[in-house]
Amino acid sequence: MSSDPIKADYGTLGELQRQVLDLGIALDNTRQPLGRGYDQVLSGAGQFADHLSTGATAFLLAWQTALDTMSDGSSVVGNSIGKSVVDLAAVDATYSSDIVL
Amino acid sequence: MSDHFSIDASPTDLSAAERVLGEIGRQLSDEGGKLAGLPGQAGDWTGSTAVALKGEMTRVGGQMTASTPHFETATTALATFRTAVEEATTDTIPGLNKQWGDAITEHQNAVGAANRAHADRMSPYRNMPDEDTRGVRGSSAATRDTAVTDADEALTTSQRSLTREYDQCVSDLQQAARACGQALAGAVLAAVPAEVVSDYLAGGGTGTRPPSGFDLDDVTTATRQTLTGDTSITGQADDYAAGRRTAEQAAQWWKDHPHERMPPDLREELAAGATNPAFVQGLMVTAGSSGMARLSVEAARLHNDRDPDADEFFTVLADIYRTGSHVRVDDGEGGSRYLMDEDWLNAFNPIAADPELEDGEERSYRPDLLLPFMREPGFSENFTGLVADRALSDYEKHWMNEDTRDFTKFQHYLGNCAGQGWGCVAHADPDDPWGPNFQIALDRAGDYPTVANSMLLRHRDAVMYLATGNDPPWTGGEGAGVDYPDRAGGALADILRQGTIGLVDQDPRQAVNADVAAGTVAEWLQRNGDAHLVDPVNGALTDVLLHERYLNGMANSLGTPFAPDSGVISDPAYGPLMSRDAWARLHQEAMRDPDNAARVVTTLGDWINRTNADAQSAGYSANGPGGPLTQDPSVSALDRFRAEAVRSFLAGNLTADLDVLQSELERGLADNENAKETAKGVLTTLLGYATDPTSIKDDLIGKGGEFIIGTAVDAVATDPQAITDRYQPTLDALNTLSTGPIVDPSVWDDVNTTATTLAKDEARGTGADDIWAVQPGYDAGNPPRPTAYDGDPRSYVGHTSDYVGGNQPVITDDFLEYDDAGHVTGVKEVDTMNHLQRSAYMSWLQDPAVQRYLNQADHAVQEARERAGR
Repeated sequence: MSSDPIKADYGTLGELQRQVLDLGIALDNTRQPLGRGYDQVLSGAGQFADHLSTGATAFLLAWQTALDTMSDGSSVVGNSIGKSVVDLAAVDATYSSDIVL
Repeated sequence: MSDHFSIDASPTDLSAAERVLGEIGRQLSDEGGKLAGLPGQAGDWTGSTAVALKGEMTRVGGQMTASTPHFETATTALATFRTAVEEATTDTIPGLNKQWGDAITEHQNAVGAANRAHADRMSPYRNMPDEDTRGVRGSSAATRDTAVTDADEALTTSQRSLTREYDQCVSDLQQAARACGQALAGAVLAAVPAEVVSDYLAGGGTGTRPPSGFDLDDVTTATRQTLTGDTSITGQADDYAAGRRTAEQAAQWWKDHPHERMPPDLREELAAGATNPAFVQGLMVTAGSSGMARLSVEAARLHNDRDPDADEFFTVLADIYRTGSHVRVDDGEGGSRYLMDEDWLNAFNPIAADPELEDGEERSYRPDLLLPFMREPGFSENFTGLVADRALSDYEKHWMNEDTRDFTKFQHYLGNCAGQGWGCVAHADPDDPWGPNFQIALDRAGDYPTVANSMLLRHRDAVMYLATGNDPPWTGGEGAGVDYPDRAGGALADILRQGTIGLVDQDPRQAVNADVAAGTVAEWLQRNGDAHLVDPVNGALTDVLLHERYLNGMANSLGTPFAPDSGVISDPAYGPLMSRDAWARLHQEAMRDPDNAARVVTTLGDWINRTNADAQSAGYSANGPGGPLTQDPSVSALDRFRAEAVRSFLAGNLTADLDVLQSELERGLADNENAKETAKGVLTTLLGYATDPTSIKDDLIGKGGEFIIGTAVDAVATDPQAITDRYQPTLDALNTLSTGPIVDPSVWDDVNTTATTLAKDEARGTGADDIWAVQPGYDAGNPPRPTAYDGDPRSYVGHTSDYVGGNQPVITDDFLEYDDAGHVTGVKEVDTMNHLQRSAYMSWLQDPAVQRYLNQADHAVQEARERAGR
């Protein structure tokens, strides 16, 4: 990544950082309703659950993965705002169960 | 009565799932749109990092928005399935159950009716003895039984039919469930591998609780890669994490298996990420400098074990170091720094990463574990500079001076010790990649003009000590041990070439650094008159001297008044200005080699011819604007002086060490049976070129020394006696050229003194006579009208200024001195002039009226003009 000097209004950047980090946390927290929906699909399918469980599980894991990457991306971006290089290690935002999509 | 048919499914739960997934899809769309819009709210946030981060926001936002249709698909699939379940539970199943009940009721009714009919038939016979009614009863019972049997069959038929319908309903629902599942599986941005899904199900995972030991990140690497692509920041973060994991696994391996080589799978991970900057960053940040040195030890041990994978792992590690050298990280102070910076280099020692290695070994930088991987170029300019600077610093401190030489502190440059105990292999095979490595630092220093220039400026003494063959082991010079590579000389040649003309060509704004480097080399050679450059460096010096900037610098040092007595002035227009002695030392050094001498003679000869031609074209004056032009060498006397000064300079340098030149020529012609005579003939030819540059044929200009010498050899072969007979007369002529007032540096003192008087006189209306003359560049086939020149210096000032900062932020071209009344009193001392003043002053001196004046007033100028006319 480049070392170009940063030019920005730091008030704007602070708000930007807050929004992006909150989004990262919210995306991560979306695992909960997604998992709940999965359980409801299987329980709702009842005796037919075996016939859709493979597809539902593929859906669950694919979206957990997708949400993880989106959350990680938001965390890296949020934690890198204001820095002169991208902080690739900053994939963990500060977790809060209060922030949801 | 309980229902006969039922199904276990909950439309309510399915409906709840639909709501959850639908809500997630909507939120992803809304928030994704907001995220993609955030960069637009920070338009004043700029810089490449900002661009990258904004790009990632846009990418993630777009991906979130693109998620929504998939959730809609999933919701629709669930709704379809739920509708089917609802139809079954509210319509089909109850209908079947009703029909089932109706069939039973119908059956019951039929049986009852048959029984009642039987009773009715037998009623008339109820008072009769059984033996009298046996026949009737039997017949009636048979009728009843037939009716019951028919009812039973009807019931069975109905129930079978209903069961079939139920089974079809269940089958339809199963099909609907499968269709729903397939739709769900397809409603994703990127699928996870099937085996991951199977494992999850087999492990009993739920939506909120994965199976024991299940780590999504570990098993969905490929899916994440599909989602993030090769270049996104998130993808890079994944690569970074992979590098970090590899470093952690390596550290754990060394801890658990201190005496074993790393397992192949770890080496494969390193190979896969070796050229990926993010992977390498994660690896290096986690491993630290020490951990990386430990990896080098691993490579050395594989080599020592003659492991078949040793070469491949060596290449992988070289790629990792090369890639890592370009990685920049946050410096914690609002800026960035190179990951492999000076601190990293200082800590490059494996002991901290593997205490098993400790055996009285020092903990400082281990070049033997790094330089072997730098045999090929491609490392960052910054890291290359650090490594080269460290190598030459260590060389100066611990090796160059025999009185203070400390083998133990320089041993790691002599060969690798890792894997063979801590005793160094000082005379290792030079072809061994782990052999002597000092020259590798020199090789790399030549990769970048800035680095090479820095080495010349910071380590001039060491570079020149090596370049003049004072350390044969490294230069391959006389006395070199057979075990050492004969290649450092080439590296030193690159350093000289790159650090001067390479830098000028790359960035003309850095010409001053290049000039200072050239000046410091000249100064060293002047101080060490007996030292001579080894062969390849000598050629590099010739390249420098014949480069346009340095050729002009030499000519302007001789042909203008501005050359300093010592040191170097880097003039934007005139090039590096140095004393005649400094330039002579450089040229004489270059011309010790016949090929170089041939190049210098023909190139300078060409320059002299062109300069004379220019002076000739400007050497015309007239009586007035309409008068005929007549040849008048005096109006371009100074221009002729410049050409003649260079010819004199060339003559002096060529004759300075003729014995060496001749012996070198003889050595080069050793295969020729008349080597001695042929060498003398070639020498005569070169002397002749210098005496009369017009004798140089055009096809020799710009050619290599070997071609020029070869052409001379061929000429000698045609009539050797005729050529060798010319040797002494030619040499005598050349010696004459290299003497006289023209070679005396005081000539410019006289010119400046004359100029000061002239400037004052011109301002008073006296001084040089006004003349009409043509301007330089006169085309004889299309003569212009002559221009009037009065030699007034005031017309040459006040035209340019320059902002340079510092105490005197703005400089001007006014080279004149004034009294309090503002009258011109002379010209400034040349050593106080800025570059604009130098240019303006020189332009004035080249005014045809002034040139004619100088021709009359200055003996050296007059003599030069007369010599040039011969």
